[in-house]
Amino acid sequence: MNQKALRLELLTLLTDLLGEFKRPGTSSIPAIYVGEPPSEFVASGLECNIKRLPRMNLSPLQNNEAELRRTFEVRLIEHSGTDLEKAVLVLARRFKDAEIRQIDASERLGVLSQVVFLIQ
Amino acid sequence: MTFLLRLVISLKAIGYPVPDFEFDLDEAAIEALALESFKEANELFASDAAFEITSAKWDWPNAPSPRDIVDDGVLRDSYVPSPGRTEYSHDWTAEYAELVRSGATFKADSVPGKIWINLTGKPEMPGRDWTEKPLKEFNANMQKILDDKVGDL
Repeated sequence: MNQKALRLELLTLLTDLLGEFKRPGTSSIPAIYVGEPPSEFVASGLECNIKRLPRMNLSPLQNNEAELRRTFEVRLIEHSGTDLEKAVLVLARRFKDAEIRQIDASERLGVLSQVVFLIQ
Repeated sequence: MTFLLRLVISLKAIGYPVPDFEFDLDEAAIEALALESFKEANELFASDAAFEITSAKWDWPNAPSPRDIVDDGVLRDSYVPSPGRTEYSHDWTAEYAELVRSGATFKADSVPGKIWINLTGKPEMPGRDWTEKPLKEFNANMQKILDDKVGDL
């Protein structure tokens, strides 16, 4: 799997739940992006971000072989609305072995509700 | 609302390594060695995690960079171990522990959001996962500890 394939799969899985990126002077697009979205994109609803560089781990095997394992970091961010939990359930069903990290919204800390999936 | 960080390392989940050779020991003795090794591997994990927090290896958008993950020491000092026989919990009880480990997106109009927009143009703080390397090394460390103990017999 690579970032492009992962993005396509996530777009399909989350098609009814994703919010949008408003872009100045042009039409909105689904709020899913690999890497850093341009600063002029304004997200609303549920955003899905895939970190461009996966975590990489090299494990030695027998016969001088090695295995490179990649772990993709996918972050679901709830800018508005209430679709985060539904989106987490959808991804959890698909990526059953993923590690999930949860950050709840806090007015005091200014943080949005978000969930990170670490997917191998 | 807190974001304390709890990591539970389970002996069963990591496969309960047993040395692969014939040895004249009863099962209880082998189990005791494995459990002792599990405890020591977790203590090593805790020490390695503390080292990661205090290491100046983490990229940061302003000087000094790379830097450690110590500001006032609250995160570093919030570590609480909960040893168990086959499960060992590692808690970091600082309320923002998970934010620091995984990074976070802030509201653009919040104070931290504005600070980060000033620094990087985006209201996002990068994650600094001080548990990643010690976790990657856990199984190999435990195997080595167990092998050394068996070798000492």
